[in-house]
Amino acid sequence: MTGISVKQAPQSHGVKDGPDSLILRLLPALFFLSIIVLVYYLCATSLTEQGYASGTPITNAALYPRLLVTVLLALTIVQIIKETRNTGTEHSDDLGVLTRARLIQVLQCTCLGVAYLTLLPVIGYLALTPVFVALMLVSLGVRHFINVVIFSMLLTLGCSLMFQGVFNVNLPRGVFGFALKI
Amino acid sequence: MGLDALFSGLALYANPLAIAMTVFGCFVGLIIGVLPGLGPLMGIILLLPAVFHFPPVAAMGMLIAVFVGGSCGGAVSAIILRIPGTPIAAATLLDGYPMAQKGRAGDAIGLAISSSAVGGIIGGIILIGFAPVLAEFALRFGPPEYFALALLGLIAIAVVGRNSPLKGFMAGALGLLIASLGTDAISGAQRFTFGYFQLSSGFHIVSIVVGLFAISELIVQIRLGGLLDAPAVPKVRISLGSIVLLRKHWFNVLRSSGIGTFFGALPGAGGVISAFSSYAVAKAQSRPEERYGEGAEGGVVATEAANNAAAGGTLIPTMALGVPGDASSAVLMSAMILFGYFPGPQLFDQNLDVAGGMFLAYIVANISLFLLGFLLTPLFLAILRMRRVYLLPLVLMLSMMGTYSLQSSIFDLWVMLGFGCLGYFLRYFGYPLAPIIIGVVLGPILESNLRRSLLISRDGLSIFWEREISLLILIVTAILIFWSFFGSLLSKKMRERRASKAN
Repeated sequence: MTGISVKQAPQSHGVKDGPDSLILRLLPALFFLSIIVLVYYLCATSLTEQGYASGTPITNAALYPRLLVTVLLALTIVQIIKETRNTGTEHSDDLGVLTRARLIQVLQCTCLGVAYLTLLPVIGYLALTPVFVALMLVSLGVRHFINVVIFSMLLTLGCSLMFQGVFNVNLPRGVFGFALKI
Repeated sequence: MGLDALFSGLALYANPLAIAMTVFGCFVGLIIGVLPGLGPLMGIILLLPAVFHFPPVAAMGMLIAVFVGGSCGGAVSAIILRIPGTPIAAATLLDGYPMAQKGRAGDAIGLAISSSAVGGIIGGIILIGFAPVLAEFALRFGPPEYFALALLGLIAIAVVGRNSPLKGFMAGALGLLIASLGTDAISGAQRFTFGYFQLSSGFHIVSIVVGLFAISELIVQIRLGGLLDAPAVPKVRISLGSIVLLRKHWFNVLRSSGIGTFFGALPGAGGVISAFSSYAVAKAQSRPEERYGEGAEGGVVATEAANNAAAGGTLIPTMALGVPGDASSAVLMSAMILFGYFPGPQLFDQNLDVAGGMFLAYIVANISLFLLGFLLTPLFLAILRMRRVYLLPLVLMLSMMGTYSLQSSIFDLWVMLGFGCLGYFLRYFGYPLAPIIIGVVLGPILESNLRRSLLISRDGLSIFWEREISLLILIVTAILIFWSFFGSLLSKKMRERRASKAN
């Protein structure tokens, strides 16, 4: 599933689309390298301490991850060479132009998501979700107050009815203990 | 054996709940397919957490129906708006949109729905006939063959995708690594858990799938913008006469369904290649007066019959061998595993009724597609008019509460969010996400069969080339890897040689 470009934003005031500088293009390779180092390190420490880093294929739990990260290391080195020769950025997904406004929207929604997950066990689903959905709609540009309120309430209640009422899921109640009585 | 499976599946499937869930799944699939940017995979992901509250066959029926409905739904927006709802509907707009421009949108949608349903049923018949035979053949497979097969499935997905094969391999390896996290099922060692008990059983696959695909897609949708736009969708009256029109194209439907099923069954190829291949064949076989590309009925028929038949084709290796053909079937396979049914020969050997129930669900889903498609097209057009800004919180809340509902765990939500950010990061740099999921699903199979093979062998890796079937699969894998790295170089040299000869 790929994002299909529905409408392109004007080119002006936009952050240039796609990874254009070498350092930026090498970021995924660095990410993969950090995972490789971590796996090698954990095989040499944690798995060795547990006594599962050697022996037969059955007892050696480090055999397979070591094999994987060795292959991944080889692939990452080839990718780094491709990137430094500027041939590694082919066929990126079409993600459109990232304008400043959209960047702010993406960051706002991500921060809202983090705040929601942090506060969910404390405040509870019923009290927190309408506020979260309303703030998300506002940050995405909806300015019609009544629409925001009605939609966020309906979505909260709808999800609650579905998951609590139909699937018997105990949604987080938080310190207030709010819950829908079904 | 296919008929045996159907009859034994009747006992599990022939009940109102299972049939209602299949019809509902098809309805959801159609709606999600209609919405630009979403597709069958997103539909399956959104319903995945909910299905574990239902009996296995009914639940699998619903997911299969979402797959079927979602494979067709994209045609509606392709025909009306010239925006394919899903990538697999991209070929449909070549003739579907010109038909709509000529005032024949109703005929185009009717043809798309009916050819999808017929193509899907033909794909289903091939699935029912072929999957049990393939599974029976696979009974002679041992750990080396399963290891080779899982490796081939993973490599094929990485190679055939439109992204760089190297990035595909890296993504696949990342998926395999993610799957290795947690308690090692063979030795009992705690791998990469950092002492956290939440990690002792690894990341829940649903959190990974929802995060990688649903959450990253939400970020992409915000990035693409236009969330407040309401598309101008004309009123369309769907014509029942399109069923009569379809009769004129019976050979096209048969041929395209065959092509679709064939490409669907090849890991990595899937619906997009099926649709474009069958379109190319139909165009090559057409008469000049049919004018493909300018609103030819045959173009819509070929692409839609093929992409729905591909759904049946994809299920052949998934069910018979345990090798998913694409990300959607990988998620379906992971759902089966979570229900305790392992795809492969043992499914047909030990749980023939479950396999039969899934076959029946696939056929009923295609029949539902036909009925729902004709009855509810006005609703789908109304949904197309909806502003996407309201869709985003809806998808987000369903994703979050669905993931939470699996284990009542906030930790799973953090995992989902983390994988969402990772998914966006990788997509931004052009890394495909499907190999990660295939890697996560195939990881335990690959590892256990590798270690078992090495234990049986007592002579290192030689066991993999001492056995004929395993050797054959590994040769195909090696050819695929070679082709992925040197194929474009070879074809470029051949083009240059041809050009120099011509001069």
